[in-house]
Amino acid sequence: MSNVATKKTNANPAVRDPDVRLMLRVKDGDEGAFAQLVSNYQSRLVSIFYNMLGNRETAEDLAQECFLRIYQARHGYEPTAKFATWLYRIANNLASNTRRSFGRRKEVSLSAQDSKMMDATPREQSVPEKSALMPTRQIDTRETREVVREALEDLNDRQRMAVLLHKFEEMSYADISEAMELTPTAVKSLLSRARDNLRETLAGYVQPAG
Amino acid sequence: MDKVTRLSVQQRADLVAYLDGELDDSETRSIEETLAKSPAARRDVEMLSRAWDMLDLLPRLDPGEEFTQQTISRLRAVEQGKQATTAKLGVWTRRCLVAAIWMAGLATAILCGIFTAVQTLPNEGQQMIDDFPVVEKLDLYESVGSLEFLEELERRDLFENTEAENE
Repeated sequence: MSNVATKKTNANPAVRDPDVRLMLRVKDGDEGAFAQLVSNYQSRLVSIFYNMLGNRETAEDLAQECFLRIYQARHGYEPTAKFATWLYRIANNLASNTRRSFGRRKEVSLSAQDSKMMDATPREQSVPEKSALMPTRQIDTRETREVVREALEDLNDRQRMAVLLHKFEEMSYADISEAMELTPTAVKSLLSRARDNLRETLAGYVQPAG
Repeated sequence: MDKVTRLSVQQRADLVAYLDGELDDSETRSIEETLAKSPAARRDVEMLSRAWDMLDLLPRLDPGEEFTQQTISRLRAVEQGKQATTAKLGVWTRRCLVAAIWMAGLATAILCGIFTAVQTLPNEGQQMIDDFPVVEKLDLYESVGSLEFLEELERRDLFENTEAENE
């Protein structure tokens, strides 16, 4: 009986994912396995929420909410996909709902703690003047960070999430499409437009080789 | 294909997918041919790639061990809250069940009482039906007065003569 179960489990490619195995232990009531999952993903998840929403406190709250939903869904968990794909699908829905509830209000002001963490100056002090947006201008790292952050902020929500999943998580188009509930073709188009927008916005700061 | 702007939307999407290693062999060959022919496309790829690399400057936060503890604590609090709610619901359900059993017992007792009463108490309607033949001739019986009077009349053979006259 257990051999059959083992064969069945081994036949499922998702079970090769070590995080899926942890989640299966969580399903069996292993709280330590859940703490391990939180530890594995907390930094990545908080970073994604932070770069999506621009507020550390909100990012941490949403990350906790995301983990909570994962835990509450443990009894019905079936390993049909990579754990990360499932996690980021929940994260994407949470981020979308939060953005909708925020409305058009932009949470761009960073707390003093965030500024310290990023080693960046407040936006109003660091945004370069138009005269300074010349390719030849030497800009320091803090300023460049701010410009990159603004370039990311100029993307729409879906483009931003796709970029973050691809850049931070190194997820394939197929995995992003699953996490964002889009077709791979739509993800390809989304990332193409996003990268075009980034290239245009950051053109003044990118010097071509040669 | 000298200018970037001459690339079709599909080709531009393929350029990005090429950088991401998401194209199959034939698509990769096609893009590489395009790049070999077009300096502008090569420059575009270079710019796309460099702009992408700039995203490395985006902040990556490390909430630390404390966050893990907080998350687990929050989770326990929610779970305990849920268990308390379930327990309250259990008590309430038990109380409802006991009340329902009492109500059912009471209803059964009332029904048994009614049935017994119907079976044992005299039925006035049935009594009236049974008495109807007597009630129907009650005036005649009252004019006779008593049974002794009727028996006396019979002994005097009064009715026999009347019957013979009638014949």
